[in-house]
Amino acid sequence: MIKFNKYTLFILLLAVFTVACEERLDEQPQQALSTGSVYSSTQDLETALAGAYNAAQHSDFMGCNTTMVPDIIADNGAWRGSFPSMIDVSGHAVTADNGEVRGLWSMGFRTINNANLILQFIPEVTDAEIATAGPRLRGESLFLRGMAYFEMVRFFGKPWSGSSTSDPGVPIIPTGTSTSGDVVFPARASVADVYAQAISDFTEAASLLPDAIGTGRANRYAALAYLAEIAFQQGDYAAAANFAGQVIAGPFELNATPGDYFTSEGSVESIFDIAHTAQDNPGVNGSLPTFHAIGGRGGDVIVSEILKDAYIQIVPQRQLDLITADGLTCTDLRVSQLTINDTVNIEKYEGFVNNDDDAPIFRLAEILLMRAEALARTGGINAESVSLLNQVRDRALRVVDGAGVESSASAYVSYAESDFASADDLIEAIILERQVELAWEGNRFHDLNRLGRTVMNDRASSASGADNLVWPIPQRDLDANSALVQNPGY
Amino acid sequence: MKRLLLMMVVCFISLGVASAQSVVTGTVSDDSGSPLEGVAVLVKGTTIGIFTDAEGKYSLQVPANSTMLVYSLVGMASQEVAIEGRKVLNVTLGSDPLQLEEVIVTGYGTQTRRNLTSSIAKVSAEEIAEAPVNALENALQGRLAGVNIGSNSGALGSQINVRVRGIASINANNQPLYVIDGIIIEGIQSRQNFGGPGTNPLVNLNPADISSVEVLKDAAATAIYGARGSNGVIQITTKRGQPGKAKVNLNYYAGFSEPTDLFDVLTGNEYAGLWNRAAEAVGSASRQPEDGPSTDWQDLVTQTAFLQEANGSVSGSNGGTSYFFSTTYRNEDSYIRNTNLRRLAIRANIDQQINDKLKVGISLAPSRVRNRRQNEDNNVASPITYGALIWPNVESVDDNGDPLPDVGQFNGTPLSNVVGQKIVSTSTQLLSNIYMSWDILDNLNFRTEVGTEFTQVFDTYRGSSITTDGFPIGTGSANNSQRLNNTVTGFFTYTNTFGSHGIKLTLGSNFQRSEFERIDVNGNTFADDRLQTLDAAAEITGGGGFGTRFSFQNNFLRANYSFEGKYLISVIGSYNGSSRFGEDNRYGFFPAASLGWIISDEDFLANNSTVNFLKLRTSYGITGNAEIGNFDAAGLVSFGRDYNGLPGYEVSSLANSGLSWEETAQLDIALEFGLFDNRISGTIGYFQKNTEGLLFDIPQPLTTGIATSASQTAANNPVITTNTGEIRNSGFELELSADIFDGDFKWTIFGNLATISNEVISLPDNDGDGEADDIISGRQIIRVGEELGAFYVVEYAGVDRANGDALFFGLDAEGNRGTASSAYSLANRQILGSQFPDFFGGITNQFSYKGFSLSAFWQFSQGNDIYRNEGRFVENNLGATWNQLRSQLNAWTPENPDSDVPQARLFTQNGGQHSSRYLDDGSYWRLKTTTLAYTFPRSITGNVGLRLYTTGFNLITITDYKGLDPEANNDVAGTEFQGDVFFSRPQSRMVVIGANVSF
Repeated sequence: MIKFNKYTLFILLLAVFTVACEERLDEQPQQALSTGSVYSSTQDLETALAGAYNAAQHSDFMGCNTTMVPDIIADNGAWRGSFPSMIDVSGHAVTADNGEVRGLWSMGFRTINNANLILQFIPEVTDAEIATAGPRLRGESLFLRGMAYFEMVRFFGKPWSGSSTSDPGVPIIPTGTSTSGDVVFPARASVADVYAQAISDFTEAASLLPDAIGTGRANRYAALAYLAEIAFQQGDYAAAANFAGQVIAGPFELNATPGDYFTSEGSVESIFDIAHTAQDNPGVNGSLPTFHAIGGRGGDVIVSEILKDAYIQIVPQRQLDLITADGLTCTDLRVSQLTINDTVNIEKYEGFVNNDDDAPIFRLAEILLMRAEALARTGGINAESVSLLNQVRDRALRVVDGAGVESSASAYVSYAESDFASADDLIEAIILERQVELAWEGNRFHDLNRLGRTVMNDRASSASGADNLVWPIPQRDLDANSALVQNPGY
Repeated sequence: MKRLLLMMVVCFISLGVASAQSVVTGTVSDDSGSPLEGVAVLVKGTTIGIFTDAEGKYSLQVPANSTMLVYSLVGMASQEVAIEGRKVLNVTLGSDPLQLEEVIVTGYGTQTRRNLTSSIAKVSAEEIAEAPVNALENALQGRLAGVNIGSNSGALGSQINVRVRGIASINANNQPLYVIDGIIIEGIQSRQNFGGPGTNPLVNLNPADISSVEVLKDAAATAIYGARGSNGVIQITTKRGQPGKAKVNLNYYAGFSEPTDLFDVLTGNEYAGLWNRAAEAVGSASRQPEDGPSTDWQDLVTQTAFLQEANGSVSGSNGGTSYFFSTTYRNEDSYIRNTNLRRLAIRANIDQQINDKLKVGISLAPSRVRNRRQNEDNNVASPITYGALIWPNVESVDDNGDPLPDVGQFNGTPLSNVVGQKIVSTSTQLLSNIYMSWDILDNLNFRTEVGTEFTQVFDTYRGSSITTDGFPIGTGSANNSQRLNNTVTGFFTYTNTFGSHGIKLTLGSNFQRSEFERIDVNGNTFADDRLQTLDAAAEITGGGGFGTRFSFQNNFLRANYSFEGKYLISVIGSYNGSSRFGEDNRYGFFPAASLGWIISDEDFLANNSTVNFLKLRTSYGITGNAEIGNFDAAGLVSFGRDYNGLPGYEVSSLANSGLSWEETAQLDIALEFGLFDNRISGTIGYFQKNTEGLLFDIPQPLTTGIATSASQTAANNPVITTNTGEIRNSGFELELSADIFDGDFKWTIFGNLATISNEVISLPDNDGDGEADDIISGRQIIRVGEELGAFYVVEYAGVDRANGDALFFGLDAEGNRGTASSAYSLANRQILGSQFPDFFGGITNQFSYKGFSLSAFWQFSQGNDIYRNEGRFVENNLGATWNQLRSQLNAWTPENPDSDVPQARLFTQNGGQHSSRYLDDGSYWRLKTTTLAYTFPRSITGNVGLRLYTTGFNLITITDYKGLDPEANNDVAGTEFQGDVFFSRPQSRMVVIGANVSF
């Protein structure tokens, strides 16, 4: 028989069942990772960066709404869809519980937080790759953050003005939130402070980013383009002209026709787009075609009557007379290529099957017109402004002979400095060209605000800066954060 | 660690001790000198023993070093007698009518009923065996004071609600903890999901294997389970080998079942008539022929169903080995066509005395349940639901007698669905448990156990091309899940007596880990309806995988002290940790204490002729509810946040490192009594449970930029799951038993009754208005100062005599009932009903005369309300296209202006909105089980015991409830909202005949 010492056994048993079990209670989830286990290598940060872009790509934000909404608030697109939230948007009648309002706010801050976390963790990563990847990761994160602040402040704050230092903008979130202890309850920063934050982010981004990374990714020129647009929005036309000039000096060229940009994505005209592929949750993120294409939801956004007028005005009568006199007619490729059904439906975003149209943020044509206007405002009528304007015009306009053969209309429609009686005449021509060239690309509402002009469409008409054009802070956050103050009129 | 324990057990087994034996003989008799048959005579601390024969005689071989024999028989006081070298021991046992010596399982130990100072309700094997049901919980219904058990649906194997002393949680689960032979098991639902919600995992357990069920109710009883105790604990103990030679028990029963009720819907012609009336009322030209076909769809999908069950067991002991082997087979059709439940289960419980100090044992219980289902209640393609709703004035079959695949605009018919749909859920379970018990010293025992629950649920769904879901190409899904749940336990028990001081100490530790994994796949487009598996699907449309796990550590201590056997004190503490809790709050301490005073042992009550037994006990303690999400406390990042082909992630939930259990402080006070020669006995008690730290999701600013959703496209809603909020439950509980007649004709009544009163004390304020927010879910509200889940609907005001409009009450400025108006939008919701009964319980009458016995068990619930959500479809006076209950024929007409059914207006809303029109008193009395049995006298059957019986289940229901079955409920157990019924399937009414043979 085996002999055993019962006391040894006793101690053994005691040891067995009083084993400290602390670590055994540390279970890990299998479909997700705990926050503390990521953000720790360069590869982690690259993956987090894709997450940040993905947040920006959401249809409530840069994937669709920042492109579509400014044109249906203003006069380029008429909303015909059934979404009550969009009906209120186009009717200048949003409320604090509007889903588009909450969506823009949510996704903007989601982009900011993703960017903040990457910015915060870059210095803590010590692997070999971080030395080369670090500056670019920082540049892209700053770019996305600056973009989110700038896009949001234009909706949730009053247009830039002398009172922007006291007008409330959106909160500035200094640090990332990854655990409950990080949660802050911020107050709104002034419009001027938010602009300053965006300028600071883009300025540093421009110094860190390479000239190109790839389709859909931030780059140095995109940061400069944003700096140009911010200055433009602020009416700092000298700075806008300067930044726009730096972008124009880059490797970009106009495509042969206006339609090319939308049919061949990532073309040489593209400075920065939000990319969409068929795998990016088709039908959800890529909703530009959903709303614009007749094959999407049947054309929720259609060409407005005001824009149709602009199509007519784009060729002044005296130019038209010359064309007619030569037995020709004039056609605008922006109408023939980019609208259908007798100028009712929009053809810029046609990938409704996979919802994979990229959302245009900056293309060369926009920057050309921006510099043209900025130079005209700082230096009056000048050759460069007229030349820049003509580049865009000449590409779009065609004359057609009796046999139906199209040829360049440059000889008839190109402007000369002498065509303009005053700088204002030139500026108005550029503004009209912007409206037609950049229709449904998310500029019109911001342009009208910049110009201080009435924002009107078939549903509503409001003075620039009116209470009902400044979006409310979402009710969800007024409830959750008592530091937030609602905009007037809500 | 498990491996180590197993090695040790194996090591002990190899120590096999052979020692000299001697024989002790004797006779056991009662006070009057009559011999007692069936008394267990055991060598103390071992399984060595034997039963006395018909003359009360026994002869037992005892190991040489044995010192004590224990004599026990149900209804008699057990006795321990020292052997002291004697060869003959004659023993007299006193009676114990209150079963004060009965052993109660307390969780990591036992206690005699006499010394128990906590609130534990017990159901015996006999009571469980009486109900011919597939699930244990159904057999417990109405048997336990303060335990409200509701069958949600009459579907086979559906989840069952068990509420021990009210509802104490809003966002965590309210079901109790289930423990089988010391293994904590998943008792709520198997996560299978085809055709309806997950089914009840306890269906795998053979009720005939159960020797007792103890429900731990108060804090003193549940504190040993600490953070998991506050919903109560259901402890199931299975049968083990009894002393003596092999005893065989065979039982077989068979019978029929049918629904307790079906919807009384219109015939085809009645429907057409009401249609035409309703069309005329709205000026519509639509007419239906009043002489067309008529189909009784409910009749086509129901049947009188056959069920049968066979059980067999052998138990006994041989030398140091005692054993219990059993098997069962049940084959039950339900009254819904093409539904069936088959259970095959085997159990082996073996105990081996290795030497006088060491005992080991093992339990192995494999089982397999195959449940063929049809779509359940909350699915329009469910047989009864669709059968009640669909037009009765259409044909069901074509000229060949084959089911038609559609009814006009609707794909599939109730008949084609029942025929063409195959949903099979097969649950295979292995419960196993190995233990070692070692008497280290005379008074010190150490017991260690390793238990495993392995459950695999294989779930397949196939909808043919003629079904609602499969039309027209066929659809199929398969889902395989498995759960592995391991428990390791070790504890010391020290028992001793010093003069008049008795002490018992228990100190131990338990660790549990549960892992769950699931894979699923689905597809469609089948070439032929006979093809069953997804290999035959042309399109595989989706698939996925999921896994989760949790673990618990429990360290516990219990000290019982008694002075002079009548002053009892018990102190319990457990130190609990779980992976579910935040890292700053991973462990909690749960203390409880109880006091007992056996007043009848005091001099002033000694030999009192009226009061035979009187005990006052009280307890107070803290327990928790840890049924929160496995990773609610964790901060997580979720993946799939891809951009332009690059993988991405982002933070999707915020950690709350302080997250913990919901905490309940419970006070319990009770008086136990035996009066008039113990002919009347019982317990009356009061409890109050205050639950704090309820789990709530507190909204965080969107500016945090956290998605807080696994889905990247869902609206952002960042929250932190936080402990806040408070609920109070209190109530009285009464258990009473009375022997009315004793002698040849015996009549015993016993029963229980309990009350529940519930109040929400505090809730979080998320909107910053300084007041707690109401939580409204469907027709029920959670509001501070009110009862949890009170029914909150617009009050129906009947019918406008003048024009047949439905009327609803508004509220005036003071919040009182205002004027009635037909404008529903002007009416206000009010609290109009309660999901809690005023009182509930059960009462049993047992009669016996010679070999005959008759028992009748009534279950009752009084004062609760039920919202008949289905009323909006089948009682809306043809506001929609569905068939209507016959009551709707009485709709208002100018000739019938006093009807309470508004005018029938085709496709026009007139009173079909949510209102108290559909809120009913859900009180009921139900003859749950009644059994008539005859046991043949031994003079005829000799050594064989033979009992023939017939049992009726749900034979009589007395209720004013207008729906089908007042026991029905919504079909998910565990939620705080009960009593909102949507076509819930009624219970089965069953009659079975059976025979029980033992030898």
